[in-house]
Amino acid sequence: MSILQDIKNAVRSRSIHVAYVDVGSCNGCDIEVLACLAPRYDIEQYGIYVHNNPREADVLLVIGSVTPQWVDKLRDIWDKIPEPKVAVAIGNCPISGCVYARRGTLTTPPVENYIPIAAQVPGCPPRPTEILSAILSVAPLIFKDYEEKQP
Amino acid sequence: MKKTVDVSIPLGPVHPCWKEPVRLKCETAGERVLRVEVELGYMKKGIERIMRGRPWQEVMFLAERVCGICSVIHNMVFIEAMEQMSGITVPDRAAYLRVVVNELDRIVSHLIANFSYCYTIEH
Repeated sequence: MSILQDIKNAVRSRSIHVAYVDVGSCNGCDIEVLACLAPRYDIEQYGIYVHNNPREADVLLVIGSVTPQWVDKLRDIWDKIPEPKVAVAIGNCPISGCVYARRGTLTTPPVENYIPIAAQVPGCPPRPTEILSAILSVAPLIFKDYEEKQP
Repeated sequence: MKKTVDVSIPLGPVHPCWKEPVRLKCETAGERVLRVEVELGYMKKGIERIMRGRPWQEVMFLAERVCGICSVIHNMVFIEAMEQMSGITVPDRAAYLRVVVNELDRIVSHLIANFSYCYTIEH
């Protein structure tokens, strides 16, 4: 293991930038992500920053079942995120469609059909602590020794 | 002499300042924005299509999912529509309680909006 990889590991463990993309949810999971920013949970004490900008993001939070407008655009946003990257599905909607997956719906869940998902947080909506623990547990698995794992 | 350039600026659908996706096409002349084209429909899930032809007990919770932030008022409107259709009159006590719940919902909604704006400008 090189010194450069050690420096990268140390930097990446304390500066995770998060972007969230709303692909057709009811805003319920949206305000739970916003609640993570509030002083009660305080996501920034773990070195996670929510900037909502895909170009500087490491973690993409996907919220909602996929509406027809998002079918091709979600893949575009995923391609714009620089490597290493990881996607986390928040709520029931990206997993199964929740209440929207019924007869006559316009949505096409699950979101795994469009981008690779590393972790899923079920719940309608999930608790902010669950979102926090999901990001904190999945990020080191992907980001640690990323360059050495590459073929 | 100051040189002005006409630029068409596309914004969205994902933007750091916005909490929900929308697409704007701004036609500008220098610093001034002349025309804006708004593209909506990124959140169209077809809730009306799901609701059509189902009993009201089955879609009552779906009316709350129109908007997660202001879910009480959407459910209230749905329930009031059902009451008007079936000719039910609400007792006074229930009407007072509904006002209280709606005001609480409005306070929460305004607090979330203020938090969101303040976080966006980072103050």
